Amino acid sequence: MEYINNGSLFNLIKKHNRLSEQKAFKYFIQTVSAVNFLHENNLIHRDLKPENLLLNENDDIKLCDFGWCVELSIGNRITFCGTYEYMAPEIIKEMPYNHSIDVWSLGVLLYELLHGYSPFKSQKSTDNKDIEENDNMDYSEIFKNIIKLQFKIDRDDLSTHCKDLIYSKFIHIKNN
Amino acid sequence: MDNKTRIKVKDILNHPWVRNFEKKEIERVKSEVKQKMLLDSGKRSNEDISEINNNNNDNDDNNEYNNNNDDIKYLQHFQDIDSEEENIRNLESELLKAKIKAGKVSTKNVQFSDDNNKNNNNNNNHINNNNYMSYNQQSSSINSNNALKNKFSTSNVLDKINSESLKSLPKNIMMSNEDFSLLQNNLKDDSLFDKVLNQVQSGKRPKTKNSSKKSDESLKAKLNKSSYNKTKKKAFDYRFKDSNKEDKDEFRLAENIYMTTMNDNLKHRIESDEEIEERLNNLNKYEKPTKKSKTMLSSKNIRHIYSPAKFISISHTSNIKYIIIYN
Repeated sequence: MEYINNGSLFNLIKKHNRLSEQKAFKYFIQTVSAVNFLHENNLIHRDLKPENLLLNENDDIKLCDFGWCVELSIGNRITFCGTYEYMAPEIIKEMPYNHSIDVWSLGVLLYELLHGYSPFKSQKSTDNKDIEENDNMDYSEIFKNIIKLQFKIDRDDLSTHCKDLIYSKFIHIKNN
Repeated sequence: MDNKTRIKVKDILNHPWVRNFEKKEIERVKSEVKQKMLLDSGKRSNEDISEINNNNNDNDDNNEYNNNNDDIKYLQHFQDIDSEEENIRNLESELLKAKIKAGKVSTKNVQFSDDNNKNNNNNNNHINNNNYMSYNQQSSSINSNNALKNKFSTSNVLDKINSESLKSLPKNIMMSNEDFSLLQNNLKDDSLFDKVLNQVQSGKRPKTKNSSKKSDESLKAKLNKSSYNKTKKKAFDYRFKDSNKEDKDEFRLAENIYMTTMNDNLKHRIESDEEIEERLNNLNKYEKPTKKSKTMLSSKNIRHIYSPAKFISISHTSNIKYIIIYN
């Protein structure tokens, strides 16, 4: 297996607090192409987050941790899994879901790259967001934020196209 | 929240935000590559590049001026070629006249040459109607053709001499093709021509430096070696055209070491006939060789196998029963 020695995107966000639109675009589009490959092969990653996106020596993204990755050929899934802040509302509501949960996670990722924190963070949120390791954490606030879609874009310097992508394509759904 | 209306990953790639950034990125890379190419080609600084961009019009003018200069040089070059060819033509015609005087060339052949010249003149007149460049190009080719045809006509003369004068040679003298070609090559030198012809007519075989087979072979070997060295040098120059002196020296050193080791190995491998026979006998203990393989396993063939080049050629025959490799 290839040795990736440049740390994860999570470390990078922590180090720089937030990234420029151009830099965020680079990492985001590389992640999108990786996820696109999985979806084309009928697979869902189900745990997309900056910790699972590593950076190689050329500063390119490497998607890892396929522990929750499943094939979608047998129909929609219902397993409650993933990372709280990146969970799509349908998982929290325990509804059957498909590959679109990865798209939700991509939207959250783009937000986090541009802001340095996730859109649905709780006031008590910690660095470690895994379910298994944070059993005692009060995540009801995060779930509440996700279901109510309570978040806002705190950067004025972002382009309208970028805001549109976050608001209407990933997280908010246009009311038809 | 309806997950069915959420965007698909594929569609993200077509979103205006992504396309805009891609365009910007492509332009950025393009400009970077362009600048790098400019820097590499002329070893110029960024300031120089901006200066070049500002002074584009001036450069165009200069280019025109340079082009004009090049044209003049080019035309001058053709004029020089013309005058040289004129000289050669004069010399050849003088030589031909001298031969006619000496009675070595029949007037029939001369007539042929004259006709040829007439034709050429007609061609030239025709070509004069075209532009200057094409005239010069075609004229030079015609002149060279003319020279070739003159040569051809003189070789016709020799054919005639060969067929007619050689008939009068004593019966015990046979002129070989080799001798004849020598005679043909030395045709221009009249004294040598006479000398050789006299020798042939008096019944002696003409002897020149190149006549012996041995010297021919050594000359061939020399030529091959020099052409090999030339090719090697060309290959070396091509490979290291962008390298500095240190790289070249390092390669040469490595090559020398390699060649020395190879030679040492080969020396080590060539053994005496007795040693090879002994090894063969040992091998024969394990497998009884067939009649065919026995022939192959003579010490002579084994010795060939030791040489890497021979090994390749022999292996293609697929007759090898044993390949002995010594470490």
